[in-house]
Amino acid sequence: MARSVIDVSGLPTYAFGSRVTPWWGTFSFCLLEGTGFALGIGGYLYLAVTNTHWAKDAVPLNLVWSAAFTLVLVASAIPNFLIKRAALQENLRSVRLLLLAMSSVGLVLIVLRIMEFSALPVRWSDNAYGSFIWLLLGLHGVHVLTDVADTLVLTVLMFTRHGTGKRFSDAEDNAFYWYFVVLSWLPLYAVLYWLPRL
Amino acid sequence: MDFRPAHEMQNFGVDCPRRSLAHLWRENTAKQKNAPNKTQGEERRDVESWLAENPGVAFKTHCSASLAPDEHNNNERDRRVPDAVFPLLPSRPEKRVWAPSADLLLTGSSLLSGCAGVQSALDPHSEQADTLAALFWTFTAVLGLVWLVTMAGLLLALTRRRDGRGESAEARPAVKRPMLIAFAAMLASSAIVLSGLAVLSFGGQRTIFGSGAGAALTISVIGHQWWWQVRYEGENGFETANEIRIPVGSPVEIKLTTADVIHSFWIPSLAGKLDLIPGKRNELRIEASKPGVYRGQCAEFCGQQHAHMAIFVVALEPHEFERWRADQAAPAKPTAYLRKQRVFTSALLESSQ
Amino acid sequence: MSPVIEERHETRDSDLGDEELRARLSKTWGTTGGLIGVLSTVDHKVIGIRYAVTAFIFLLAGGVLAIIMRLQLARPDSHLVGAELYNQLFTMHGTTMMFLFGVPVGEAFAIYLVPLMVGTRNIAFPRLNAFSYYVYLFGGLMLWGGFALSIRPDVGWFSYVPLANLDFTPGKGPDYWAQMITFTEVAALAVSVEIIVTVLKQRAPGMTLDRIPLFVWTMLVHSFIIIFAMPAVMLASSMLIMDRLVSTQFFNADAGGDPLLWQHLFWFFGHPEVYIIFLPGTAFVSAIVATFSRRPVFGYLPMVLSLIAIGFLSFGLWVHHMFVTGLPEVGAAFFTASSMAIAIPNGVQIFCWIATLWDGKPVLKAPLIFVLGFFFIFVAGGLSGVMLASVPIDTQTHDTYFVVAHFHYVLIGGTVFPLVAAVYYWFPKVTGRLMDEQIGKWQFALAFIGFNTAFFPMHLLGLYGMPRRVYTYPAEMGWGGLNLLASAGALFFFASFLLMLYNMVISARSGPPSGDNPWDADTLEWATSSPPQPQNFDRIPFVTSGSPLWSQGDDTPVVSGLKVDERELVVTSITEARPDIREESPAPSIWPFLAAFATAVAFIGSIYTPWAITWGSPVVAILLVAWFWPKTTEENA
Repeated sequence: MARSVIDVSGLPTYAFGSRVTPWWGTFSFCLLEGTGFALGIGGYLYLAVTNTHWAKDAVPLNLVWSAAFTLVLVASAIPNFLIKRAALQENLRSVRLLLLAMSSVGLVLIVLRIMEFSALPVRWSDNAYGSFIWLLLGLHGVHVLTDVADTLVLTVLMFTRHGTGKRFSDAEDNAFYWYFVVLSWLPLYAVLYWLPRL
Repeated sequence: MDFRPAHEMQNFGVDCPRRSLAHLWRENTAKQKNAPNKTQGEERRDVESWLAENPGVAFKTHCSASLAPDEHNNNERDRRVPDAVFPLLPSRPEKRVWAPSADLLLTGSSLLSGCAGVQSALDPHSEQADTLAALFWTFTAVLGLVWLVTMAGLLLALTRRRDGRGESAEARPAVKRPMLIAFAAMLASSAIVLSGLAVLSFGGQRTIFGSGAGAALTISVIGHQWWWQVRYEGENGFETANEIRIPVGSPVEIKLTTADVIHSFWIPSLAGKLDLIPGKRNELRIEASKPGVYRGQCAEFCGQQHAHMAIFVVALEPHEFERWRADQAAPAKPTAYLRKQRVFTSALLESSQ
Repeated sequence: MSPVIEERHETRDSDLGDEELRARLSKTWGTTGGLIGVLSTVDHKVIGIRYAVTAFIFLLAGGVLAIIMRLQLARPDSHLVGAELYNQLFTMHGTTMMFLFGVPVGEAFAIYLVPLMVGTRNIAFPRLNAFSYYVYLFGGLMLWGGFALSIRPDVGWFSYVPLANLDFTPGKGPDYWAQMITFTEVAALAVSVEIIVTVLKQRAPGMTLDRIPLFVWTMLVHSFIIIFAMPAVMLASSMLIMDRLVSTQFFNADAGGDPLLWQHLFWFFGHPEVYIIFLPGTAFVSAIVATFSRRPVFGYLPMVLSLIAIGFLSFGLWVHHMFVTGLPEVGAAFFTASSMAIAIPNGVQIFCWIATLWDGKPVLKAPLIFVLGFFFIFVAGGLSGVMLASVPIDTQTHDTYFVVAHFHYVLIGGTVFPLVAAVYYWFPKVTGRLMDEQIGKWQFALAFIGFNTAFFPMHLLGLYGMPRRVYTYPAEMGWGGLNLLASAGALFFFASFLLMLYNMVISARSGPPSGDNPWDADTLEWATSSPPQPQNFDRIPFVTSGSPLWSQGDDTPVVSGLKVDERELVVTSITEARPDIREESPAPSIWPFLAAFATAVAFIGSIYTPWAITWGSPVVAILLVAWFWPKTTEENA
């Protein structure tokens, strides 16, 4: 038998943050999706610079629903932080309650995003400006939608017999991804809503 | 202003932009066959006389004698010239004339030399194309040397004498000092070579990005699937198709736009290529240093008949050019209508009336 | 066996003898039979082989297209295939070679070899890995199925707008093309995430950053390039398909869009794509040069830094594909400089390999011979690339056969020759049998002469004015002779692959048994049996050197304490590779296959109605929930 130099039997079977593989998976997805957002914004700015009709096309967007969306989204970072903390402490009761809260915040955000779309003054087929508005809002909307769906499934899981051990690590991972959803919105919001007003 | 040929173009280009070119070939070929020989002969005579008046104009070619209006083959010219100027006609090999010219013999094997001729970046006939060819050869020489040195290094590495040919692997061989020196030399020399080439390239860039100021003539070229609309700007402007005539020795400004998809304008003997892009206007300057006919063709894939989107630049002595231009600008002759369907087959004939 | 462990049903590897351990682990990690079992497998080796076989089939298919094109071009004014079919052929050839062969074949080797080389039992997120394979397969089947049904893209592998717009290309060809892009890029992105996480977190204890094999470093950089490059083409192809299907105006110059935006997005992906395809080639070269020189590659640190530099620089070159679109002068100059600069890290790599051969004792076996072919061809291609980096020269050579020659020198020289070398090199690991060395040498002769005969004349053709993507040319142009020569060469080159196929078939059946480490190589994949057990390693090795099999000999220290009856693997820290967690690796599952199938149906449906996405998404979502839903204690990803 080969010479054993390390015994790993005492190691934990799960951990939190960047120690575990799912965190790196999520991180990689944030990188590639972030690249997608950056390129989308880049394309928008490219047209804004090169296209002579842009000033005429770029009608400023309605600020009401987007402001509500942005406020709720930014505020959701607080319960998100609390989930992360509760997950690290493996506090099942808190995690359950906070996940319920985050799920409802997510659903509210989806409604707000729908209102945001309905208030858009341009259609995607009007001009390239309209196409970009719909694309970027839609792209971010898909991220909100998938993470809310993810949160809902996790919430249900936490109320079943699976709500133990590694599930806390998943909850923490889910919270990590939500930060990305929040952060990726801020440059989009600035570019889509405020740049044409400058 | 009289845009006679433009009107004729519209018949083809705008009314039926989706007609298959294969269909058009057949139509044109059939028409030529059916047309009374007399009419054709008349048109051909125009070319013959034009060529006779312009002894300096040579269809540049080394290996494809069928393009060369060679003195010994006057009787063949009728058939050869339209092939040369008409890019769409499928060629008829049985009519090809292989006249062994001095050029051909000098070039040696046409297989290896290829056809450094009518459409070759290595056969420059303008200052710009000269610069590009010189730059190309410089790069080739320097980089060819780099390749040889690398291969020599590889060969030596494989064949050099070794102390012992044992097969045992070494996990941590000592790093030898000469190897480190070689590494440093390699890094330094590649940085120097590349910087040198970059500087040369920036120098060459000036010929491309030269300003359009001072151009004697401005011509708009509008790309269509799959032909070139050529518009001589200014007073007494006029249009031609698939053919541009320019005076030798003066800079000509070419404005490039497209009516449909992206095309690329490329006359290798005169200048590098430049794209025609929707919503964008590109400008290219050409200046032929010698009279001649220079072929070019669309260099950006533009759909089904991309392969057949050729164009000819005919560089004329200035007085010849002025005479031709004056003729073009003259009011339409009634017979123009008769030829309008044939505008493709006889771009040169059309405009040399 | 200790009674305590018996009670907890937690047998550890330290409790068992070698043979029993192997049997128990192989049961735990094995793939069950039957159709469901086959479709459920999450073994990285099985999926890697599937990737490789699929990619090779696409290589042959793309090669057949190339041969038809060469027959058409062999003579001037040829009417063998018409313009329409020729345009479809070159579109399918480029698309197949880039997206269905070039990228996936690199992934295939990474999926198979990286977990073995870093000493772990499976790739990270093995279910995602299975999903990615099926998505890739369905994307390829969709494109070629469409081709068989006469739904054929014919606007080039680059699909420039406005030619690819609905106005100029009605029909569904470009839509199939665009969705195939999405499929294959989803697959490639998924694999890159898996590779990155496998390399960062699942290395065997002791494999510190400076002990990672160069092959693995290369695949890590390759994966990061994919992460940053592929989103661009996914975004672009989605925008294209939206322009075509729901009347967005992204690329419509008349409505505030810009056709050049497509080119920027496409080449922002397209140039790194070259390195995505080429880097696996360098990974093969690094492994083979080391093994056959009998020493590690010279200059480990410069090699790794060069790889990282190539990764960064590859994103600063894309505009050299657009030099003739009428760029501002300063911009063009910048991209000339950056395009030339990337020659330096490539030069460093070439130098280090040659230095290794110089210092070592080269053994001229088939894999090394193909690598020598790589040097000859790739260096020439790289240098003609320096020419294309120069804006003035590019205005004459762009979109001519000179460029066709250049990138075939780079891609075939840089990737396909090393790939063939890699097949000869790792075939014994995968099958347990050696390939025939003599046929290998004949194959090399055929491939080398055929390749150079086919592609060298194309440099000249380009300079003599022959543009790319023309289905024919007039006899008067004088291009006939060189084209005929190129076509003849192409036939020889193609034949070399048939010879390889023959060699693979007969060797798999009756080649001499290879043993575990036939080449006496130094990396960990050779420490496993040939072919490797489902668990890869019976005992996880502990790594003390960059060339573990050379420096450690038979006395390889190991890690103990993993469970035997569950799929446990060691997760380590990023830099020091200290053991940190015993993570559970997901078990086989049918859900990834079903999710991939549903995704494929939704994507293909979306070509015909945008609502397909709407009704397809919930189905996919439900399947994903099923995929991730835990069963008792097992984990999933």
